[in-house]
Amino acid sequence: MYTTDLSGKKAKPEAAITENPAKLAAFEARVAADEFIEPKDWMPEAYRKTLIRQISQHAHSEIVGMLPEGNWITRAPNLRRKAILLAKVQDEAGHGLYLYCAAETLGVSRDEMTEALLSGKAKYSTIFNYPTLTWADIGAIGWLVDGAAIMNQVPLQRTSYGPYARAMVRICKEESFHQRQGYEIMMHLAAGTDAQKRMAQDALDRWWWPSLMMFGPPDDKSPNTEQSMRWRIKRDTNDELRQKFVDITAPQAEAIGLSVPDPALKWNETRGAYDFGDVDWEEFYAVVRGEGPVAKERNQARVKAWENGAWVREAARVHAEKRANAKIAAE
Amino acid sequence: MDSALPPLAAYAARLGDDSLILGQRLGEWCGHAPALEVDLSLSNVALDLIGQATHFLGLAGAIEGAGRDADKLAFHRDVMDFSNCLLVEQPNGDFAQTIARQFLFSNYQALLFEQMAQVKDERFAPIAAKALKEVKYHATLASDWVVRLGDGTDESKTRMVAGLNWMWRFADELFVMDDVDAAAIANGAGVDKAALRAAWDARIDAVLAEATLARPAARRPIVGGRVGRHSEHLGHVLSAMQFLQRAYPGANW
Amino acid sequence: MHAADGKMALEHARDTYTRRMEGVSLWVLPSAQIIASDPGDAAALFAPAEDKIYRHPTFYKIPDGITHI
Repeated sequence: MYTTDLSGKKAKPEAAITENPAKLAAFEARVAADEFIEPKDWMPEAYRKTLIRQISQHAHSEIVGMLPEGNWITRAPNLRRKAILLAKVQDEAGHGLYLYCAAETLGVSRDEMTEALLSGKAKYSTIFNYPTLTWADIGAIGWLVDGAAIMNQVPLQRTSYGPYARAMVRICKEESFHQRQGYEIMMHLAAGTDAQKRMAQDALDRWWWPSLMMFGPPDDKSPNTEQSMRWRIKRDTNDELRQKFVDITAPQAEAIGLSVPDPALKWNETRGAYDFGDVDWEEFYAVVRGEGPVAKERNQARVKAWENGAWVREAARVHAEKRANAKIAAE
Repeated sequence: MDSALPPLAAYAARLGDDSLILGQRLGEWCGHAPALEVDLSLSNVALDLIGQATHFLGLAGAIEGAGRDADKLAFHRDVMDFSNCLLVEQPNGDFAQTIARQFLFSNYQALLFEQMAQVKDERFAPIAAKALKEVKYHATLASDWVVRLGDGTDESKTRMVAGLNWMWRFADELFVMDDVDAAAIANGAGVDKAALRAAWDARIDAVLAEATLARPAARRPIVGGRVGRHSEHLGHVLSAMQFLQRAYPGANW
Repeated sequence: MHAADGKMALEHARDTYTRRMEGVSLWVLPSAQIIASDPGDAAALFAPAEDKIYRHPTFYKIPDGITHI
């Protein structure tokens, strides 16, 4: 699914001042020429660190993102929806895997990244700390959350770090069905019984603002943006993407008879874009701090899975060792 | 067993219910597996099983000819009309227990579909032929894990033994024959399951030997699933699975 | 892909990389065993092929009207 710019208010930009100026200049020239940087290439330490943070946050988001949707696999309303949801959540696991692999090429291990996630040190997209209460939430997540994610991810296919860009190509290709299946769920609900329509509107009401938060803080409060843009780690600003998302999504809601929960939402003829209300940034920062409604549940689920799986991973390792030793002994 | 279903439809429903309930169980793992890679494996198996359930339950409804489709059968029957074997409704337990269940069941399914792919009936054979490719992989995957866990650490061995002991009680039911089976065989759709037992035993024993595990002791089998006499677990599986269809009758999703 | 042994790696690769019918065969090997070229040597490895355009069919001009060639 996706990565959020989670810069808190106090985050300072990573400075590149200690690097060898000639190497840095050559590096920046390559990036400016839209060349890919590969694992063995020289890169500024700040670039490596920013990438590790961004890619691992992205990977964590995929993994934690399995939980809110996984919550409905056993309760999907029919066999078709059950299979689609399973395939989608499975894709998230795959995407997490591709991204962890991409991050590993920068010299960090998956165990280290997992440890950072479980200890609460590493962040993941704020959106997954909201609960999925009804089946319509599965529709809303696909439509809005994956919609926002795709908007952010498509430009990342041309991000400067080769392994990340290639992982994104694969992810974008696979995700093409995720948003559509979500919108299809919402379409069915919105055209269904009164109870279903109410369920759909309620889900849109709850997921709209958190979806806008997914693009991260406003540009003037996003300290890393300028350097990340120059290094082609980020290709559009948070506010640009947010505007684009509103412009695309508002008519989609209208088309199925749902109303966006924002009284200030209005088409602005002169700007050729929608005006929309203020995001509650205090809520966003609180969720980034780990105060989201189900943050503890999400963390507990990941910790439990990891701890309960420890003996399995250990058994596989020991078994492989036994077999390898037996092979050596036989030779 | 759903008394309203004619024998051949009941036969298809048994196959569908087996796959559906096990697929549903494996779906519970999604997001909680011991490793990311295992999450992908378990969901793949679950997806194959949900697909098989869709085909077989669809076939059951078509044979019945009363306008019930796969969803109607999956989401609108109660425990006493479900005809899956007791094995597949057993709780996931820990990973070893899940693997034990998969190991016993997938090896059975692989042998069953190998035969069913050859039957005369042109509705059953193609579904079985497609499913065979899937369950062969499931059997390999589960068998490999039995070996790893059995011949891994002391803890994994203890857990694997416990998992097998839990599931072993329900293995015999897989091979029990009754009137529905006889009718299906007479109609060129069914398989003599009792005749699969020897091959199944050989496969299970070979893997257990490689896993340095002893075969659990023979015991009085627990049966009843095929005629709607289930464990307490199935009702809870159904109450989650059927919740939306029950809470919003007549709605389309 | 993380795996404890070769068989496991193959199965994980199957479950991860064949979900959309990609590929006809899977090869796995430990990442530590991969010997990759140094990006610094890219010129020596790849540039010499740059001017050997006669290896591509489009290098050859065939008159219009000649087909199936």
